[in-house]
Amino acid sequence: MTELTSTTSSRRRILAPPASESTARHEIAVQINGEAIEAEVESRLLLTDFLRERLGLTGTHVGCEQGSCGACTVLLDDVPIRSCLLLAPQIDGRSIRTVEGLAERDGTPNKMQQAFCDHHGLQCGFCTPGLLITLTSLAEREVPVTLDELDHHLDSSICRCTGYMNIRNAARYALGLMPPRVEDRSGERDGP
Amino acid sequence: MKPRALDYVRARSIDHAIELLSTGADARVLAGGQSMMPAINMRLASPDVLIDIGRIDELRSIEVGSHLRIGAAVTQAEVAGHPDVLHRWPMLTAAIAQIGQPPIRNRGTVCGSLAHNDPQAELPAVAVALEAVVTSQSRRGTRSIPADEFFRGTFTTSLEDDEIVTAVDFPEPALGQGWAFQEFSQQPGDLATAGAAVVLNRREAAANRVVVFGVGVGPTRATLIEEAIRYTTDPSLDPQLVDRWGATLSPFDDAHASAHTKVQHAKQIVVRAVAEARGRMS
Ligand SMILES: Cc1cc2nc3c(=O)[nH]c(=O)nc-3n(C[C@H](O)[C@H](O)[C@H](O)COP(=O)(O)OP(=O)(O)OC[C@H]3O[C@@H](n4cnc5c(N)ncnc54)[C@H](O)[C@@H]3O)c2cc1C
Ligand code: FES
Ligand code: FES
Repeated sequence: MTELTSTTSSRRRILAPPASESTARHEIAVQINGEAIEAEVESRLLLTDFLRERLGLTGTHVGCEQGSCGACTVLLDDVPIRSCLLLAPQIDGRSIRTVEGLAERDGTPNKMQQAFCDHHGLQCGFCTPGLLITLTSLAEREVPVTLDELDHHLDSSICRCTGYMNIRNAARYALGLMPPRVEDRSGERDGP
Repeated sequence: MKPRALDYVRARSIDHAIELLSTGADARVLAGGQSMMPAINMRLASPDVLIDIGRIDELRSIEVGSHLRIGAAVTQAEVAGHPDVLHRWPMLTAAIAQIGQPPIRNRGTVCGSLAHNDPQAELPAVAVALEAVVTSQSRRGTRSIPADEFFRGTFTTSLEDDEIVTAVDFPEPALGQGWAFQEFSQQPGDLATAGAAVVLNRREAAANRVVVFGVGVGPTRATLIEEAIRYTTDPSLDPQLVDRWGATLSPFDDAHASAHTKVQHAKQIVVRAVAEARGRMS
């Protein structure tokens, strides 16, 4: 994959779709993880592919391309959405945050990312970006989160590895819904 | 998979969208995209042009007065999160909570779900139970279509190809009305195997509605049951009556459940929903 960019001003300019592309092209101006970006995109380009192939932001994963698995979840104006169900021209004028935009500028993980490390909240890591995005949006919300709501949000990503327990514990910790002590965990149901 | 070649246009206004839709090309409306885009990615649908109505200001409002008016670009999450809706149209909030997962509801629209009319979808049944009225617009003018006439069978409505839904109106529920929304699905957030939306009235029993979905061609009124509960306040339904009603259903077998299983689920759910609605009457 080649990332074709030219930096002329503070806006990064992403160069054109492949010459063979037959569908109409659109000029878009967007904020991606706080950076102003201008690009020319073809009508049928999915937001996932814009992020991954044009911008090289491969943290956003692609599982199903039908909205079910949650691996591609990103924040659109701070609201979690499936990036596989959005066309790149639809995000003109809007802001996107991906998993690459969650850590502090100096690379310090955010609270949810740190909790995933501390509580072993991932195995293969395929589902992790989508979960971190969804759960970070919960953590950044002003209204307190309930345990039911947390489980409901965990349900929005499919994890084939962990059985969800450690993800749930990490999220409980980061959300201030204190995780149970080890000896209290035995009676809990497994996953959401 | 990836979409076939198609063009994308963002409509600036209702008039712009209607003009684009009436050019004769194979054009389709794109609202939240939560049904359209999976179909396009799987190449089950491949229109020439997608007309995005999601950012038309005129379609972005929720109006609450003597009735509730939801514009066509309003998302399911925005409706469910509206305090007046929770208070006065609680069935809508309850039904939306059953749709997919939060990121789906953050994009999917209420009107899009009605226009799509998936036979397993929650909102068409709610629209029939609450006697909603769909407003549509085309070059020929504006129409108001009662929910009873809007849904025409699996993925089919009375909308013409060049018409867009601009809003849906839900009248204020009658005083003392009891309601229930129940569904069975394989997992939380899945489309329903069988479900029911029930409205019972103290004053006007003729206005009672028992609407089932998932077991037929879309939202279907259980008239046999509606008639039977008209003259009784007994919260339980006669099992023989329920069996007789069950025998009128003809769902398809699918990967999740046989037709027989679906009928069994529907019968249980209707019994439960009627009892729950009775309990909520005041
Ligand atoms: C993973 C997943 C799970 C889901 N689970 C459920 C579920 O449990 N229950 C459920 O009911 N739905 C479910 N959905 C579908 C979701 O509710 C959709 O949002 C809804 O069916 C369609 O609304 P939309 O705004 O996304 O419409 P779109 O996908 O944009 O459009 C759907 C269809 O309606 C037409 N249309 C849309 N708006 C208009 C309009 N204003 N005028 C004319 N035509 C219009 C479009 O042309 C298209 O044919 C799920 C979707 C996903 C991806
Ligand atoms: S790739 Fe988008 S939800 Fe699976
Ligand atoms: S860690 Fe492998 S899918 Fe979740």
